[in-house]
Amino acid sequence: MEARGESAATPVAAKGDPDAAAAAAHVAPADDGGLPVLAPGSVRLHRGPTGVLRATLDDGSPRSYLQVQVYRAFPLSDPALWAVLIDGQGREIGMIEDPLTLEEESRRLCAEELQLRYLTPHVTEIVAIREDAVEGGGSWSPVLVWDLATDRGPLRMRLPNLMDHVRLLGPRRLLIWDRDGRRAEIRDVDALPETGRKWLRRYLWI
Amino acid sequence: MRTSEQADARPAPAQQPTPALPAELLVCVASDLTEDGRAGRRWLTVRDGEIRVLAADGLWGPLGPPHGADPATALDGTHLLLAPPPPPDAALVRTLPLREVKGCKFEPLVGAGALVAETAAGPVLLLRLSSALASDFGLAGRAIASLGLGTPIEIDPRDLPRYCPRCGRRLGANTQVCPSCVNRGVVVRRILAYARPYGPQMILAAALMMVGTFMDVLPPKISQWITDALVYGRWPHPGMIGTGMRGLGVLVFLLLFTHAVGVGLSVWRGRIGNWVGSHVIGDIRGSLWKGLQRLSLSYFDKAQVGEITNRVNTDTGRMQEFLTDGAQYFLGQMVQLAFVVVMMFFMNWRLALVAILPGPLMVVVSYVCWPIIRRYDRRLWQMIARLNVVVNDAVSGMRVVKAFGQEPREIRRFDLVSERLVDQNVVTNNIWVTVFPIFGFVSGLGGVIIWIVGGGLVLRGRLDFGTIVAFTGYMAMLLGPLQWMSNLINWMTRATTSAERVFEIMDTEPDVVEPERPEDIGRIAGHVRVENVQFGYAPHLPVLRGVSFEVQPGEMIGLVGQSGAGKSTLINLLCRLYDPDQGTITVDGHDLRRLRQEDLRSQFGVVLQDSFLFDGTVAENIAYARREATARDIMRAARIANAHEFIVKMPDGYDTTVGERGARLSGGERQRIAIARAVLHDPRILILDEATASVDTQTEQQIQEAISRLIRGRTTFAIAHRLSTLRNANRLVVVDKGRIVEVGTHEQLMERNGKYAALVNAQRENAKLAGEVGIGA
Repeated sequence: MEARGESAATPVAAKGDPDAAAAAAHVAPADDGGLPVLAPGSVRLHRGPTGVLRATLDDGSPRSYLQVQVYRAFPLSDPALWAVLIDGQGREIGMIEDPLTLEEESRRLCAEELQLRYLTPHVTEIVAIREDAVEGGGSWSPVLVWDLATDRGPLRMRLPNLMDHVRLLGPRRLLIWDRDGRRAEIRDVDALPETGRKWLRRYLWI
Repeated sequence: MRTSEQADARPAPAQQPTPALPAELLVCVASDLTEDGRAGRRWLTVRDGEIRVLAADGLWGPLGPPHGADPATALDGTHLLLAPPPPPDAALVRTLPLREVKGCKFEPLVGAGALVAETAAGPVLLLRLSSALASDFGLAGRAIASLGLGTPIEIDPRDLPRYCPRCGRRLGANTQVCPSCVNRGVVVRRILAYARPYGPQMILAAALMMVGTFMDVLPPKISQWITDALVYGRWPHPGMIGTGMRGLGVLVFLLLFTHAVGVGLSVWRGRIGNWVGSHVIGDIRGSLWKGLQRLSLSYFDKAQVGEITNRVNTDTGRMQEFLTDGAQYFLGQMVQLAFVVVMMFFMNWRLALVAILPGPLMVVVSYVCWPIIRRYDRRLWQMIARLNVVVNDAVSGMRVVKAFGQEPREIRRFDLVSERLVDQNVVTNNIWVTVFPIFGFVSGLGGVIIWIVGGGLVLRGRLDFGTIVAFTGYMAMLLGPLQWMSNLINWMTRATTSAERVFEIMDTEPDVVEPERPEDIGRIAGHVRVENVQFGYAPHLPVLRGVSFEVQPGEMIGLVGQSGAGKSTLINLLCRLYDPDQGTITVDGHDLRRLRQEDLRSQFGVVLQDSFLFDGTVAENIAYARREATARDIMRAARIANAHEFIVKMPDGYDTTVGERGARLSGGERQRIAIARAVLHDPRILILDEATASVDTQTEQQIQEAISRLIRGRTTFAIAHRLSTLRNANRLVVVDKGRIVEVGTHEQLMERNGKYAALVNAQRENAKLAGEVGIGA
């Protein structure tokens, strides 16, 4: 079994890709003692004609990737660091420790992609939290309806319970998500207006 | 901990002092079955170079202590005495010269067992016994085998049965507490010891209770004043309080005031009591958890997860309930009872004597009724538990139910239990709705007596009407608590029982003990030597016998064998989760028992088949043994384990929560995270226990790759049923029925065409049938 990073050159272009001329071999980046960390200066992100994100790397062995996805390794505890580039086949291209050190356009595109991937509005105010016993399991286990104001507009979320839909990310930082997987983050409970904090105190030990 | 099932067996009463044991009696143990399996007493003794089986009449179950209750007198290198000597008139059943004995073992049967001696002429059945005596005869078998071979008896004194020094009753192996001799007072004092740090608060609560209770008993007295004032015009302290409307206003205000103050003090006291109770329980729970953490793995093997969780949660919860609610209520009611009786006697001792007559009746009724209520309640709980089992069973196994079309059967099963539950519910609730009105009736008798006797006194002008009004008020305060008396006592009993169970864990000593002067092992090179190790989870059932082998640093050893051969047991001993019964295990020349467990565990890494992930994030699980690990360290370890890519693609990446309430991961994903955990731990000795036995081939390849990176430069012990896992092993150790039967490389063992070759060929046949590629194919 070949160890990762030593595979034979594989054309990156997917079958039927109109831009097949740009296809290059997939070469794993140099390992940082086991981690494929890319030097920020060697990475250039750009969009193809259809809007798909592409990447060009030049760290000694120039190559391009016609489809790139960007992930965060630690999206909750350390969202500013460790962006991971994945190619169209789902293989890891490499990691960028601090995306802010990329050149301007790459930095902008990286941030854009990450925002679109991790769509988590930040809560600016808790307008109200109501109990809906009809939808829930009766008055002992109602669904909690959260009306929120966020940096992306108003949001109404229905949480079946607090145990499985609220996560404490830090002493004053919360992540909530509803049955459908939509999320919202309260970055700092203390930064909320008093009315919002009152609603929280009614339901959470915080 | 050695489990014994004799904890509840009642010993035959020791009527006379045990006679001194003759010095030449080497082994003495008593059985409770005859040769044909009937109840009867048989002795097995070893003396004068001969094993003797003797018969005498006796009771089912074990006898009392052999020689006082001190186990130290029952065992040394040449003696094992587990029963008093046989009576002089015991009939000889069988003899066997000791020199003919090559071995001796206990054979477990169902509810019974047999002691069988191995001789050159074949096995000899020495005697039969019920399973209550299994552990005794396991020890006896080992002793006889040692004597037969001329070697010293090597038995851990902790394995000997223990007896309560007070009543002579046999104690369970997991406990030093005799259930019948336990001193509840001691338990209560121990609980109170935890309350000592909160002394000032408790004193304040006690003071508030006294004042508050006094306030509570004043209203009937004030009612008496009001009544006498209105009926007879006799105003108390008219100069101070006044008369007429003014006096009435003052008295009514006083009534209101005492009510309000009483309530206020009660609330204050209740809050203090609640605060103290919760903190005391928090402290106890913390001590319990610490106690649990230092126990050896054998405790967790014997006790189920549910039982331990019950003790930590339910038992401490019961204690808390009692400390915060029950104890306060109980003490408050007792104080109130005392105040009420004093007030009644102070007001009119004749009427008081008559009025308290129903009291004893109420106590008797309470003592009779509550056990009935509790019995029916228990039956109801059992029916509810039964129904839960049926529901859980069917819902968990719905796939099977549907696959076999057994829905009608499940419906019938449910209906049967549900109908019984309905009936039980009716009966139990009938008890409740019957008993409490009875209590109410008995309470009412007090009022009747007061009206009859008191009313007569009023008509004869020997008593004021106000006194009757006061007495009526006091009767309610007297009889109310009495009706709950026996239930309160039961509540207290349950709480102290729970407390015993909690303290028992704290008092349990770990099996695997830290040495007094541990040796410093430094950084382990990984040279492991196992010498003549014997071990059994139960002393009479060894799982490993005479196991010896040596491993050089950096070697990978594959442990091969069928299920139950003893491979996992050997691994447990290597990790020092248990200590061997005989023999030694050394690492770099140091006996494991002379090393600090923390030093050892910090250099051991384990990857198990069922990789347990704690309630936390992926990153926290990988860094479990190295909290200070950075993000780089964690990701590096995950990459080595071929886990990084799938982790990153999860919505929360390394921040994804896993464990009980977290994301569901596949078996292969869990194993790779466990491998990453081991990588980050960077152990010198690695244990892989069937790490790839339950994943698909592609994932197995990824895991194999991860493992091959992980084991580089580390001494590794790998167990697997799938022989392809062991391709990389330097040597293979074949274990069969607790013994090592073959050692060598794959090629050497295949050439030998022994047990290993048979296993490989069987594996290949299975692989062919399944269409997989087998080892060497």
